[in-house]
Amino acid sequence: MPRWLRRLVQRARAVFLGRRLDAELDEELQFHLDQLTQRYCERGLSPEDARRRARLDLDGIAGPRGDARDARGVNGLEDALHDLRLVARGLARSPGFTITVVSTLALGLLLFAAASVIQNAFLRQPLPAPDAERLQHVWYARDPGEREPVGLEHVDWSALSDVVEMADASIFARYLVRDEAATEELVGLRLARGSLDGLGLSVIAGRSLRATDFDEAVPPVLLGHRLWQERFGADRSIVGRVIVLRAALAADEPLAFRVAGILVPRFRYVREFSRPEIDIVVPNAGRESVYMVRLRPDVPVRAAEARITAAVRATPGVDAPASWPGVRLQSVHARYVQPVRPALRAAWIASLCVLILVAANVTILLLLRSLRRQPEIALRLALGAGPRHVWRLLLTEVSLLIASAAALGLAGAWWLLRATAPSLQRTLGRVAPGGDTSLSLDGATTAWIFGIAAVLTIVLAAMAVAAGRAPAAIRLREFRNVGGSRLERRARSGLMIVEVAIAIALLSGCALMVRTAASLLNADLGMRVEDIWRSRVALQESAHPDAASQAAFHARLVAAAADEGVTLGLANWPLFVEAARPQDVEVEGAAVAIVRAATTAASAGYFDALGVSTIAGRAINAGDDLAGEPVAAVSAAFAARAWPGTSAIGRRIRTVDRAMAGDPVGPWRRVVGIAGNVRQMPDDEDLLDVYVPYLQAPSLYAMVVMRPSDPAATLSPAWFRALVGRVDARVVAGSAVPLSSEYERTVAPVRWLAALLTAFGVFAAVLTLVGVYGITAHVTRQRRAEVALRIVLGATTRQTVALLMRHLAAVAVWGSAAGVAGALLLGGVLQSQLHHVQPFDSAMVAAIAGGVVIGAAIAAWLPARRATRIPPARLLRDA
Amino acid sequence: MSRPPDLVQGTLGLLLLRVLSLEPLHGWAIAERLAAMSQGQLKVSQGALYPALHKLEAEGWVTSEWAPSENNRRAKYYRLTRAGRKTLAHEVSNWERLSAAITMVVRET
Repeated sequence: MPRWLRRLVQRARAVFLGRRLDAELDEELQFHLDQLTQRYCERGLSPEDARRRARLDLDGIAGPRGDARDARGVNGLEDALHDLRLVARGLARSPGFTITVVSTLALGLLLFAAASVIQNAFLRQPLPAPDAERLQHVWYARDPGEREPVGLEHVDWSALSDVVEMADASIFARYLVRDEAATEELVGLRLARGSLDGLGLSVIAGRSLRATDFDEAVPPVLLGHRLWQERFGADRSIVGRVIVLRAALAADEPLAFRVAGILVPRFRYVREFSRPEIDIVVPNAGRESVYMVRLRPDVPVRAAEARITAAVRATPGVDAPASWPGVRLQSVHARYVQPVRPALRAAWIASLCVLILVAANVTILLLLRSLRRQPEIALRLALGAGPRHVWRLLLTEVSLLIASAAALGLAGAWWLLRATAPSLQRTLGRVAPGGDTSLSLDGATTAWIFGIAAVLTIVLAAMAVAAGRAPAAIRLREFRNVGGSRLERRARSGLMIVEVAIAIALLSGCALMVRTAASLLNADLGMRVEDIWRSRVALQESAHPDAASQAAFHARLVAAAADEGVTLGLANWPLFVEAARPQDVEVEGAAVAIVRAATTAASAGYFDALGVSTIAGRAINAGDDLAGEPVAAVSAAFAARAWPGTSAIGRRIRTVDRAMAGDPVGPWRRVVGIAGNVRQMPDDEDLLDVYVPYLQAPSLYAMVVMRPSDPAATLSPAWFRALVGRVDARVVAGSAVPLSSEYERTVAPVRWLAALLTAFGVFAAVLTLVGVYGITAHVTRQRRAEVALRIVLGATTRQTVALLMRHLAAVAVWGSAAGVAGALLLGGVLQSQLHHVQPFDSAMVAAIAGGVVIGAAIAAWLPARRATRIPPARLLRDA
Repeated sequence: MSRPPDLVQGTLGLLLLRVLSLEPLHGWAIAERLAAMSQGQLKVSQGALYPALHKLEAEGWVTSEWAPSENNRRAKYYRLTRAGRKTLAHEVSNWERLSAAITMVVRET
């Protein structure tokens, strides 16, 4: 056996079998002693004299035993274990203190660990594609109403190969799969030829796509995991077989594909990671516009923008407006997480603030405990315990407390993340880039928590040792040092200032989000949400090639729903998904010639179902069709902007859709009605809306809203599919959902952040009050002799309390100042999440600061007042 | 009678290995045998004997086991191992070389 291993075994035996080895050693030494005693008996001594003489010869047993134990080489470890047992017994005798310290610190570490993991999972984890950090989304239009250059598919990206490593022209496509039961619409991805290795395509069966697949007569495809499980029963034999689908826009033409492989679960297209999972990947040999590129390493984004812009302008066949500003590149990852970044940052900052508060409070509790243990420590030192041993005990106590809290906090964070990962992603409306596994406790976060615990241990142990030194009675001789040295006083005040500042900042952030949530939830949407269902229909171009046939279908659909007592409306923009795209609207004879407004094609049923009010004139009705006069309705806000002080009825407007190619100018339309202002999203601030009759501007895709006339009736997805199927079996019906649930989904992130910050704010406020109370109690205890003397010499209760609370004035001033600064900072972080709320409201912050200071004053007054009620004799005796 | 001289620093281990090379013994017997072999010149105290034995055991040069003694008391017997024999031979050689060198210096005229 190697020497090091033998030593390790020996030391392990010494640690874990220490008592048995001690017993054997005692027996061995006793045997030796007995033999020597017998020798002396044989020489004529009495048994008692012989034993005494033998003990003298052998220096007793304790000395040899100690030397023999020392030879085992585990004294340090045994001492540590002994200290641990002693400290554990001591903490068990103070359950209130132990539970308070461990639980609050564990909670602080748990919240910080969980917030860190969540922030990292979204903001640091790359999207699941090769070299995803270099993927850039290409914006050709900088504003929603701007027109992109036409002919972008002609751009030769190979000429940009020095800056662009991959140019992805993949696009979404819809496919239909039919059986006797139903027609299902699939989310398809038409994969561009140059994107084979750039999108992270991985398969669990079969093979991935190859370059030769793009030229096959029967294209090989990859099936999505969900589709494979639900429609093909997870049967691997599907690989290699031919399946028949139909394109959503040309359902009469069957398309044959050969299944080449099965995608990994939950595969999404990286450029649009927020959209649903892909059901099928089809190779696309055609030319499409590129909307995503992967830059070469170390290529600056601005330089790439300039090169691409120049290439687009120089490409023959590309029609770019003269005013076109050029392309803008945006990190695909940044674009994906942009909506949740402020909320996650705010949550992380709040958790850090809470952790600091918790650490401050634990510090106070340990200081108080050390102060109370001064007599015990003095006694130990007097009985011969070395100072090092005493400080080692204090260090062991602090280490045990913090290690327990860290273990508990990490266990809690692991459980919390595991339990809430799915619901959190639903609330945020985003899947974590790394999937569910990234929302679990990782090594880096665990190491951070242990690092924080180690730093806390060192700092708190040092403070506990410092506080456990000479009792205050000794310092009483030097009167000015009663209450601690200048460093101690500044540390105490600093702690309170930090606590007050954090409480003010967090409560301010909480108030901002609560007001935002209230503003959003109380915002007048201008329409009803309850008892409304939303869905969509997709027509096929082959079956409905022109506006007349499309309008005819929509009219039949509305009539069929009316026959069943359901008011059905159509629009070209989905409610609570995105607001309608703003366009320029030319206004005839108005004070302003152009008003920028969101234009929605909506049917009569849209207004009826949603309860949108008609303020003047009439609403759009079923007679406003292709054969009728082009008309429009406008919102009250639009009418006030375009024709202030005059009636809008009878005026003329026309839309200018610069985002579309061809003639952007629409026909002149007569305004027939003024509708109430409507918010198409809870945070929709633009109330300038123009409505054109849907039957005069039909399209292949329509958003549908439905309301049963009988409030007790309940619609369902199956009912809607059946309704659409009866009108035209070739039309695809989307899944119907209650509009209220969609509304809740859009406000869920705000609610979540408001609830989170409220919890943090309240927790911080409680910790602050406890901390201030604790520090004042600490100061009061240190100065109890002084308090007793002052009372004896005639000081009133008010004077004594004021003396003990004198430190609070500086805390109030500096804490409030720092808190206001913190509120300003947090408001800046939250700005993009606010709705109708300014990021810094001086009155609100002042009220919060006042409340916190008053609360702190009360928390400080309580122990000070209590000290004045204790008889001076008792104060002096305890000093 | 003058007091027997103290053991030279570092030699106790060698002496114990030598005593145990004759036969397994318990601690008391080792001390007695050492005194007898040195004609009373070398006496090892209990405080030095047992730590030294435990160190030898930790090094793997001796092993121990409990067995009945000559007076039927349970005693811990120490036995030399193969590694211990090698170490003993090595240490004896070193000692002979060292003592010869010291003798040459001391007796130099």
